[in-house]
Amino acid sequence: MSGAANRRRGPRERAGQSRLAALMLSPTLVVLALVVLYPLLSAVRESFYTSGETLDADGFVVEGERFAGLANYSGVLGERFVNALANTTLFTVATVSIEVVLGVLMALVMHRAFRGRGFLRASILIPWAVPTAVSGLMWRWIFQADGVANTIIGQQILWTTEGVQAKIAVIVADTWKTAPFVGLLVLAGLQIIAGEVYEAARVDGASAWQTFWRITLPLVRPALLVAVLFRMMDALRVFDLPYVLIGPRKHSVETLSALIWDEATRVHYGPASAYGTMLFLYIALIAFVFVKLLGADLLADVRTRRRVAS
Amino acid sequence: MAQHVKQVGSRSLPKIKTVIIAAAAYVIAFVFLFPYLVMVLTALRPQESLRNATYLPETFEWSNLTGFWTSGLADNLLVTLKVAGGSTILVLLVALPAAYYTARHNFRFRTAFLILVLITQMFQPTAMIVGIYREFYQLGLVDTIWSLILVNGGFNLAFAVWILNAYFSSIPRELEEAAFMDGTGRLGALFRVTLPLAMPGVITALIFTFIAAWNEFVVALTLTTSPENQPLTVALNSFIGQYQVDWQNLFAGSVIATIPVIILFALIERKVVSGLTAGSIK
Repeated sequence: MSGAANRRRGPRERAGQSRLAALMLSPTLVVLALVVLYPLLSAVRESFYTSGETLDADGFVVEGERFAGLANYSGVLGERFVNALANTTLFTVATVSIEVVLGVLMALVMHRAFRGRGFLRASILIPWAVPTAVSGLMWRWIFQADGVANTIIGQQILWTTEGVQAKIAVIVADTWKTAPFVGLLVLAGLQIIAGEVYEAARVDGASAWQTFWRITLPLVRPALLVAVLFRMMDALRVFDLPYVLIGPRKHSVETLSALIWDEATRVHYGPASAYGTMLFLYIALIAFVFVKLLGADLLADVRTRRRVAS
Repeated sequence: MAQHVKQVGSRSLPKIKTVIIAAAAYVIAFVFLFPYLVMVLTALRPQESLRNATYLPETFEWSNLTGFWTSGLADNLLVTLKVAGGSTILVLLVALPAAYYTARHNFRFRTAFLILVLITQMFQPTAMIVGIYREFYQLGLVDTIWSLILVNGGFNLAFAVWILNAYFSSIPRELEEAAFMDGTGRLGALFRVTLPLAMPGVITALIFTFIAAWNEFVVALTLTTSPENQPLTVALNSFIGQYQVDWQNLFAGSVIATIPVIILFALIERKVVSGLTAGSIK
């Protein structure tokens, strides 16, 4: 509607409009430029440069920088990077798929009416709100050698030492923290399915199983896809949980973010930035493939939303 | 509630089903809350019974919690409060005008602006930590709360702009026009009509930002160097890795770090669910 209104207005009024637009939008743009754009460009630039080896008293590089081409990227073929890439991918695939299954189940349960539902719904969402740094500590206590986890399963597993068990510990703790969030997003999708659809299915004699596969799942698909997309973006850059639960510089749980952080704290700015750029590309690639493969659903959702909004 | 589900002829069946579902829900809730129970119990456990990890402590040691205030961690709690509060104020000051303007005016770069804002959400601090560190080093803001406020604000801006934009768009323009006609002026209409109606969205954006900044870890870990400038999340973890982990005090601190987020989250939980639902209906 305001498109038509704009056309009716005179040029002077439109100039006033642009000044107002600049006034209203520039704070957002300034903050984003300062916090996201500049560091991003500076990190990407840094990935092509190398700095002298000398450090000053504070531990900062004082030598001039030299263009290094792709030298910083050579580590990408190294064992440590490949391992971090594999860990990141494993955590993402494992946690997101388990969380989707659990999340759908939880949403189906939370969707039903029963006494105390509101309280339960709120209580299982608590893990998501709790600081990861805190829940990581909590799981570290649970996964101690003589901790609760070993007592419950009656084993003596050294969960927080290097090895497969450390990966499992991270996956368990992450799933516990985030499955409720997926459940919440799916629940939101479930709540918009009209009761009539289920009524019709029941009249047609569909079993509960058929109803789930033929009606619930297809209708909840857009909400589920959004949840999966957001979760993947998050899981691909996981840092705090392995850091707190297992510890920094632990090979079996080192993710790309952890590798980048470690290189940065050792003042290896070039390689750290190169790995950071690779992580961007990896996330962008996954998001692109995801949207390309399943994008019709996501975009359809956005399009109908926009139509109603305008 | 069960009576809504009932059907003549199969009166008892839905009831059993409801009971089973409720039982399943309680089991799920217990599984998800159990680790917290462990944490709270450990926080209140006397030092000598620490190793009986699986049993209920016979006495509760409330002094573990009060000990928090005399330990240095109280300063870190203050840092966390300042950072979370500062980021929230920054986000609201910056996002409100942008969201309102994009919701009310269909200018040429409107979609481009919203997409640009959304794209920044794709980048998270870890991957560009070198860029962030160097920038704040050059600005002389390393190891200050200002750098944390800026970074946390910046990375939560996208969500706030989008959710506020959605709320403002859902408020009929006519309401505002009517108030304007009644002589409130543009700003009066905005502050007396639109903003109160958009309050649920404002509160959601506010609490989301606050929780995210409260929980943030990696940026604080990188940008703060002196212990007294670290927020609680980082300070708690510096306890780990030393010779003996003092679990009671650690968990007492953790409980204190967790309570505010849970209260805030409880306030918006319903809104989050209904907000997401409203979003998908449109």
